[in-house]
Amino acid sequence: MKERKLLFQNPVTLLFLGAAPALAASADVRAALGMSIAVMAVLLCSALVLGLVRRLLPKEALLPAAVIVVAGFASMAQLLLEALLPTAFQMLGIYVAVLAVDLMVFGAAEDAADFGMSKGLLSALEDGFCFAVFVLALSALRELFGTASFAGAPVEFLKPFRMGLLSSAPGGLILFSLLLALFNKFFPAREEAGRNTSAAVAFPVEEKEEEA
Amino acid sequence: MKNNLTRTILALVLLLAVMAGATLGVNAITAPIVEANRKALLGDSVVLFDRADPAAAQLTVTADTVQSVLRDDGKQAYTLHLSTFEGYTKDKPIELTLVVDFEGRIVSLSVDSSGETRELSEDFLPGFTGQDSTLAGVQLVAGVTFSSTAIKNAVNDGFNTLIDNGLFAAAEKSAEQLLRELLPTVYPALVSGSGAIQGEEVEGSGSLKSGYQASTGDGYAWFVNDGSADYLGIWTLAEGAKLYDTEGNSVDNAALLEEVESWSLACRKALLGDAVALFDRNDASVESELEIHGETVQSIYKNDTDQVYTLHLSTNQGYTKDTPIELTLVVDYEGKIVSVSVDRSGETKELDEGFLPSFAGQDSTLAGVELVAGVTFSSTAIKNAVNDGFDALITNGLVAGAQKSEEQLLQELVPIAYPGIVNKAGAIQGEELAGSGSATAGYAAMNGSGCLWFVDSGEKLLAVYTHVGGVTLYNSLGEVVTESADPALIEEIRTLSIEAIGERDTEAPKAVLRLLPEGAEPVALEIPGLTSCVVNAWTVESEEGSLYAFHMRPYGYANEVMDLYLVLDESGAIVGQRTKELILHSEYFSDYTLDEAAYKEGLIGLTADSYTGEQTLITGATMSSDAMESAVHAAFEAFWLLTENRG
Repeated sequence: MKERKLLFQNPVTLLFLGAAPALAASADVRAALGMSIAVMAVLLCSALVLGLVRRLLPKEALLPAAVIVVAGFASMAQLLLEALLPTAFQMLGIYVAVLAVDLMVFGAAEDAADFGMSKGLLSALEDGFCFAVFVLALSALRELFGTASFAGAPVEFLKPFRMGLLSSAPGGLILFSLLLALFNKFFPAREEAGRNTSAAVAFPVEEKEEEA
Repeated sequence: MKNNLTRTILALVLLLAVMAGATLGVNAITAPIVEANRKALLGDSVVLFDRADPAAAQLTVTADTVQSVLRDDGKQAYTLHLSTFEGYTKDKPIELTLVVDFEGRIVSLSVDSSGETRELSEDFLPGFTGQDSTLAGVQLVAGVTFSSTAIKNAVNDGFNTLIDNGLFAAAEKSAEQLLRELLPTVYPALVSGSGAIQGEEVEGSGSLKSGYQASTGDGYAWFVNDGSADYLGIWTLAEGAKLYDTEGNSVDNAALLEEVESWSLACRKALLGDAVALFDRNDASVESELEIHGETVQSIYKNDTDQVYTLHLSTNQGYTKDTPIELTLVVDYEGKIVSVSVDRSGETKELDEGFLPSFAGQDSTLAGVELVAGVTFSSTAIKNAVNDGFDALITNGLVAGAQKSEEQLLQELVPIAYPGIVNKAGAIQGEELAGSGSATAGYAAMNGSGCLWFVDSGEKLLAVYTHVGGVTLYNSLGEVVTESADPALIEEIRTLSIEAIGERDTEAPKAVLRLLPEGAEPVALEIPGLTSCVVNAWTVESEEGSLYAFHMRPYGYANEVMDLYLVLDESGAIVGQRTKELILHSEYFSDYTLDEAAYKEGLIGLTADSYTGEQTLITGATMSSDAMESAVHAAFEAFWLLTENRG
């Protein structure tokens, strides 16, 4: 199931969810790590809180509740990152705050609101893991071949093969697109979308009535 | 229902309050940590100015280059972060850290990041250490003058900020420094656009302590001191001696002026050595009987000892039309180039390193000199200037002209034989084609007008094929030999050309149909001998008589192709026009003035006789103007050929 989610239903590669923070954090592995931690924390905390309050709120209030909770945790994540990981915070700038409007985070939050805390936490864990793997892979490639370094430490033998374009924004977009293309070529999306995946946000599966 | 709504709102407000409270709680915990981090980073530093937080500024900062100013009482120094866009690469800034001690001396200067494409010399940045606000000891670096000037100016801004805020007093500039700063104003020909002196240092004599000699040897700048005051003495061949004080005021001191003039003449004589002036445009004392055409050749000196002629050339045909390119050409008595050097230039693009050396050893044919892609205007201007120099030597029998090969003559014929394939500088704008049969090599014009071939069918010829004009053949003397050529050869060229660039599309596009009467059915025209930028032509019969429509594709800004459609009536007057884009890439520059509607309206009614070129001039957009001019001329030429052919 996890392998299937990571490869075939990865929210970043399938639906471009979380693309903005992924791209923003992909210039340096340290920034990618910081963003991954922030994303995971926001996902888990949002799922936890929404799972707890879902029964106390009417159905119509769940979406605004998700907005409030996600925005709150995104702000807290930004403050904590600034205090505890200042280097990563410098690199990420405003992109941690952008998590407040990120659909990948909303997707997991809504899962918690709709289906309960355990399923919400599972969805959050899966999405966070998928995001982290993708953005760490992207940042590693960009940093190794763009600036011949890894997490800020120079990698001497790669210096002759440096491609300056990769460390710039256009280069990042190009590499992002190439990775997406590779992912979708070798791990194409399956037709059905599981209930616990973020794909359900875009392609909700109608519950089929059991035949008598 | 109402209860439900109330419950919902209350629940959301409660949730909001809880989340806000939690956020405030996290902020209360993290704020001291963030402050502690910041203090650890700054150390003993106090932020006097930070562009990101202008409200807390303790200094008045007017220079845009200054980003922040910190004071470190422990190290007794100010740290400034500077950022400038004035380097060679204008889109990425040069970021610097400047540390100045409390007495106004530079402790260190480092570049944090930069987009500059050329490396500064190793000595440049360390050269700032120990300097005061005059930066007297800092020399700009040749070859990277834009970067080094940008850095020097940024450091100046940093110093001015500290001085203007009373943090220390400005150091006094030495007299020499003040005089040196006068040079761009009083002797601009000696100083490049970026402020570097373009001359050699020379020894002074008497009151003249030291000086610079212009590369051409026809001007000198001297630092003069007669025991009482310091002056700047300037001598030029054209204007004689002048003297200035440290404030730039003209000084009338006969003795010093005489000294400046006599020593300058002596230095010039030593420089010229055994050289004898055969012609000197700027020296009225030289009586010359040489026949010199044009304005390029400034002087010709003969040196029997070294057996060479030294010519000084000046041309305004480069990319930057305001500042001339000044060259020194040395040719030996056998007519071979010894050297070509650029003494002064305002060109914004650097020539390829191999270009000037490629002239050495060449004779007057300049067969081995290739124009440099990307700097065709500059390299063409230099090549043409050298040609003018040779022309002067050959015309006056000083050297014998070398025989150009047929291939070279045909190559040089291209701009005249097929103007539709070259830009204003005469460089071919086309894709190379592989030869076949009688055609040894060729080019397909970028604007789609046709192609040209170098032909060897026993006789070497230049063949031009255009969709409208058909095949035209030229010999190496530039004579049209189509009529006397073998029809099989003409057919071969036509077939080869169509294979290379495709058949002509005879259907008139909508842009043309809109200019013609409704329901008109244009008929494609053939105009033998047409080799301009006209890519297609049609005629249509109307109530007012015959109309002729032409589609021109001249080369505009950055050698990109422009599209212009003109319709002429029976008398050859323009009755309709359509242009896709008058100024290419207009989103990138706006230094031109153009009332587009009036401009286009002004074309109507023009004939070949009334058209002077002024009607298509666009101020500030020379390349677009030139393209429009060539397109309009091409249309008139096509009309003339048509009527000539019809008799």
